[in-house]
Amino acid sequence: MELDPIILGHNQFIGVSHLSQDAARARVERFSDLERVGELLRFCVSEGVRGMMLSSHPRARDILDYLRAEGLADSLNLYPLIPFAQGYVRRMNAVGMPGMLKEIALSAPWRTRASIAVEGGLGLARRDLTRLLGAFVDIEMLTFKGLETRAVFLHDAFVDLALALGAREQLEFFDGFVRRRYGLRPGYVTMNFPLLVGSFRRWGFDRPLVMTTFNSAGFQMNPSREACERALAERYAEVVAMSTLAAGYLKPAEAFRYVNSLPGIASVVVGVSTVEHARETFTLIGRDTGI
Amino acid sequence: MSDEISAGIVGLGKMGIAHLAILNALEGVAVKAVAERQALVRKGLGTVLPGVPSYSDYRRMLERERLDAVFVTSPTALHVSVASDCAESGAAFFVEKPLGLSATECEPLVRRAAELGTVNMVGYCKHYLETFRAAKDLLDGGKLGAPVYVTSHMYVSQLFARGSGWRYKKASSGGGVLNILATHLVDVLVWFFGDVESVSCALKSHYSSEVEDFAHAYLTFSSGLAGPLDASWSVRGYRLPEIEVTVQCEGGVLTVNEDCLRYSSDSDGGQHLLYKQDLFEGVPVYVGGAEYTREDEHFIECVRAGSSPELDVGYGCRVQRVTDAMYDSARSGRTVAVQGGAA
Repeated sequence: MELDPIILGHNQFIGVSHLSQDAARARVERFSDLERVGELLRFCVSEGVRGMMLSSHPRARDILDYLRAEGLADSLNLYPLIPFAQGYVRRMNAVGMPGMLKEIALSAPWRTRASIAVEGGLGLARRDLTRLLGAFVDIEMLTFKGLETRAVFLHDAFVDLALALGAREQLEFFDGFVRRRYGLRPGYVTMNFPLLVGSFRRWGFDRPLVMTTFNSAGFQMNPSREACERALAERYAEVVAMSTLAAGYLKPAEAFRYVNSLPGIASVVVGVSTVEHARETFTLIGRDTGI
Repeated sequence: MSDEISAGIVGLGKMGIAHLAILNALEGVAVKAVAERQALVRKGLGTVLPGVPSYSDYRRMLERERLDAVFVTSPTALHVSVASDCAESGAAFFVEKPLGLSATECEPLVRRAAELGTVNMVGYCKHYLETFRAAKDLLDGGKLGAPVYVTSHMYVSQLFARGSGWRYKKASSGGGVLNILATHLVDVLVWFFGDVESVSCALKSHYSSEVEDFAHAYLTFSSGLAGPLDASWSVRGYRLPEIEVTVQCEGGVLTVNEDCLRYSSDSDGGQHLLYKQDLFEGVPVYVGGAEYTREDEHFIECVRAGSSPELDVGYGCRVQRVTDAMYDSARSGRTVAVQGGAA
């Protein structure tokens, strides 16, 4: 399935800013009114930009409900980002790890819950956490049921942990599970792009879909901007560039000049918060948006 | 000691797993064993790192394995006893913050580690964040003149219902938001401005039954600098933990948080703003925050060289004394002198 050349990021809709928490709070205010999200997305769709990243953040569920009600959801190609990592970290801090696993299981509708009780129950009895990962994916994917979905991205918190641990079996399980159960392409978000390329090559992953940081400031490019550019030049992975503005730090013109100069970027994730901002961004990216 | 450092980990909670992953990926370190009480977690680890033995009792791990360095990432109440056992076994140790439940509990460990010459470190990770490091350099450089008044906070939106788990039980955590979270802020203040002489403090619980959810204190430093501190894990609008320190100096003003450093100097009249993006440096492996990789690299380097890390248990104990005095003050309703504050 083809990737959209431009994918809208979701951070601005769910109150996340990697520039500062002040900026994040301003975003919460701006988009507390779903009408504004709708207005912006209608404009993007009219410009031919249909790709949209969305996590299973509780706020994202509200947005999806609204988009379904407005008939906008069918115009979008969704790229789920799972799981909603920060939420789990917070719950783990609040109720501990066993408490959190219980909450996850109980949050699923009864039909899924029954299948998890079988799969997850067996998994727990066998103490095999790899299989529990499947139940986890199922619960997270409920949010996106019935919507046009192009690929499922595993959150960088999990990918980077798995890469550092060399958790080949778990990553292979995710890869196969998403393909088999959902018929979708698995994707990986990472802040360790060269490490991913090295590991995935060794493990025999075939042309993985990877979302990773590329910006002229070198921000969040580990171990360095140069090493990431070298890994990109290998053209082993299909790359979706993220943090292209270095979390709002770079001016768009400069930022997209750099991204457009890179070889082999398949798609770009952009955060747009107003119609004017979206128009400027799409022009600067200057790509064939497939209209 | 061979070039490769053999490491062990005690306690596979959130931080234990993060250190495990970082150490596993760093060059020149090999994780040789872990200890964790929960069988489920041990089993899960077995599927990811089948070559790494896991123990239900860390003492057995220390007996059986030859470890150069041990990371102590258990609940706070166990930090001091586990770290002491590591030192006696001949291993260097890294202990997560805070060092313990009280300075009284920590002091014998500080003495014993010194006697044995054990390389040790306390995980006050804010020292390894670019913006705070730059603020420290700026303050030490003297460009803004002597600090006069400091206001600070640490907030995160975490707890809005009754919590469960070790963090919310006084016996295992030593306290609430102050000892578990705001210890980072107390660390930053002691790092920036030196020892605190006296504190007056008030605490409030709302969601937790055993520990405090809100803390407010007025701190007077040995240097004469003074000002209020506010901390909570039950405020809205802070998706991630945020520390912010604003210090009025004789020649300017500085504000620093995780995102940026802002300052102005009377001498040049300029407003300066440095974002973390301006200061960013990549790390060999990134797991949840570059600061964790940097602190682990520093510790491992010290273990290899046999040198003393910047943040040892003596330092951890100094921070603990300030927190202790805050609890004392909240109990007594009086201003309390920090024990050994000027030491």
